[in-house]
Amino acid sequence: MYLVHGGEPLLVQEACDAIIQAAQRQGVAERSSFHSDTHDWESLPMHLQSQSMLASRKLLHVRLWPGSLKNRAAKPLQNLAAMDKGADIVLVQANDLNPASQRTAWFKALAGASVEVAASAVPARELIGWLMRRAEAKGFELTEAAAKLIAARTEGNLSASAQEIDKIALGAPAAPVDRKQLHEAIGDSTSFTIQRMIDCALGGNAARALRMHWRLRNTAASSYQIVAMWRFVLLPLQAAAASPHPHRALQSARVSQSRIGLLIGALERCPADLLNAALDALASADAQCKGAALGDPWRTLADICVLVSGVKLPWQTGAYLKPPWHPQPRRYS
Amino acid sequence: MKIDFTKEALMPFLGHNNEVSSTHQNFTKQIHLQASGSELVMTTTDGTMWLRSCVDGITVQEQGSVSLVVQDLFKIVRGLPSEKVVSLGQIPTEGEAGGLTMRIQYDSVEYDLNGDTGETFPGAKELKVPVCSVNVGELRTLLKHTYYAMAQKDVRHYLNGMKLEIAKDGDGIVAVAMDGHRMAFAEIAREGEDDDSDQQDLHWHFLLPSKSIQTLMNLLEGEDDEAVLEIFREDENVKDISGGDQISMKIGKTVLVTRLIDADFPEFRHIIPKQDPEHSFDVDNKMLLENIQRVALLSNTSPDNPTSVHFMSSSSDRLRMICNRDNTKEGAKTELDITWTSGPGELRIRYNIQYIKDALSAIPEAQDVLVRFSVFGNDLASRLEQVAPDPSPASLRAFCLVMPLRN
Repeated sequence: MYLVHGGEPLLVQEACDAIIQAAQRQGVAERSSFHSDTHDWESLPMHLQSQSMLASRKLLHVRLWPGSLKNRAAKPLQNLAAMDKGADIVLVQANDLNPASQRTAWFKALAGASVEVAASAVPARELIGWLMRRAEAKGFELTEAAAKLIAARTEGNLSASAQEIDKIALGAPAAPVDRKQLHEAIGDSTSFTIQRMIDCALGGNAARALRMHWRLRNTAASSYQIVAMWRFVLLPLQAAAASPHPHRALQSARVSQSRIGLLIGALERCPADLLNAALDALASADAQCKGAALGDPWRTLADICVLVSGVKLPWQTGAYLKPPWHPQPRRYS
Repeated sequence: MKIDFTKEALMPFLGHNNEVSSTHQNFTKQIHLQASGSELVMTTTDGTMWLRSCVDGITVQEQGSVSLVVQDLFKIVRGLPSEKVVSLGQIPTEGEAGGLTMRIQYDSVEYDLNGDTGETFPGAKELKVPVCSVNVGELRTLLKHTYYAMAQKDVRHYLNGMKLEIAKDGDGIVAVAMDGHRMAFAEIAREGEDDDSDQQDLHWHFLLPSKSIQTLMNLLEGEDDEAVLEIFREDENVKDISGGDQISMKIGKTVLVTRLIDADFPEFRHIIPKQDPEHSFDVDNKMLLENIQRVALLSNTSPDNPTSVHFMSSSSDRLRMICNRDNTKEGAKTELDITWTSGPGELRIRYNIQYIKDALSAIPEAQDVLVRFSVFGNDLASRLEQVAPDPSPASLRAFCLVMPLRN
């Protein structure tokens, strides 16, 4: 019996595939699966006890889906751990088990009765090494710089990284693959949400926020959605900056408790002149995406990312003139 | 195109055509109608099989062809008053090139359906080389005894169908279906043929997909027992028919063209137990089925979520059946009379309840049908077969093998 679990879907899936293939090599010809979200827990023992006419050994693949592991699951799973499996193989696959489930009695019973494989996420510092080893297993060499590029382009998403490596392997390169060759070969497959981009700017990381911002433009996001999301953040910030009790002001503006700390941090980083410039830029961007003013709303919104991160724009330091994409919105009388 | 027809002339054929069609593709939703001479040819397909029926008893006013959505046509024809002569004809339309509108009209009722000229409808291949012919009544009996054991959507695709073996000299037919846990076998043999005939060359082998079997059963339902089903193939030169090929089956004026499953069916003859059973008993089929349904009431018996039934007996002539909900004390039990035919004694065995129900339901309903239940051990398949009255036709041998559950 095997128990494979972890937060990294690619590694969990590959571990399960390896077990299934090894079982097939040993002559386990029959395979049946039990899905915790569609099958009835009562029928779990039957899945194990049913015998095949065509094969003497079989593999039962039990897939535990998060959300279906309620109280009713506990007893069948404990029974499964205790049951006599004969020559059959039971493979329990659990993606994304939360820490609470890992402390339950059924999990301990399963882990105690089986070979446990915990496929946790690869830490950032080991990711480069992981990518290079994976490339080696696919039969080509990847330089460290190239591995870093893949890691950056996929934002540490292992499935996406593995796909990139598979794509390169298709070309069967003879010499080590370096950063320069890769630049053309792989695409930017990251995807972000607007919320993450705004949080990043509020956290003071201008470079990363800008990268997410331009990436959002290439995906399906619309500039007006981003204007609306910024408005939800900047208006409470403005109220908090004007108030002697910023914390209370944010609470009364109905900012959720978990985000107040983030906004207070942004207020400290972002003085009043930058905040006012960001609000001006928001008004311009709003007018630009409605077609009421000239200019590209994406460039104006990019300025907001920079300003909110607490960085002055070039024209604010006096180095350049105010750029032409910041016209004042036309006033309607 | 313009024809006059009655509901009675079209309806039986249209029903079969409606069942063949599927919603995967545009052309699989359509029925192709071709009127020529004094008959109408209707064709539907789901991409893997074609059903073509010739309908007579209609009047062709104007020759031509058209493709319509089969479900719409079926609904309209089903709702027609009986014996009413109805006209189906093209009406002139403006605009849209390629499309046309057909009007179905009787009394003051008019239905307009959009269709096309049917030039792009993929017709079936014309298979002309005769292979063999089978008696419809016999084939129907065989299919009824075996169809329930076909697997549905199994990854082993060769189990999602039925194997037919037809002796080249017309001496017998075998039908087998299995899903890995049970197997249904039915055979009609003449001239005292020996069972273990591994002489593959003497038989035609067909592995038909389960949907073709279902369609074939529907087609056979309305036919006369003495009618003959003819099987054709494409090429004279090929020595044997293998998977991937198409065959066509012709009953009267209806032709079913179907592909065969491109794989080998498991060696089913090796699975049939040859030794004497450890225990065997005779029991009334109707009583056993009723009792099983009674004890199964408390448990959920969908194919995905099976439940089990315990068969228990000591040496007395009573069989006890117990069905428990797992992990609870809830459950049901019942007892009924049996007659031991060999090895009376301690019996404790457990089955998937659905498998036993299916096997018993396949035996034709009649008064006082006795089934023999033979148990060969806890890790070998048990056999269920009818012993009295003698099966009809007399040369029929049918049984079901069911693997017990591990204790």
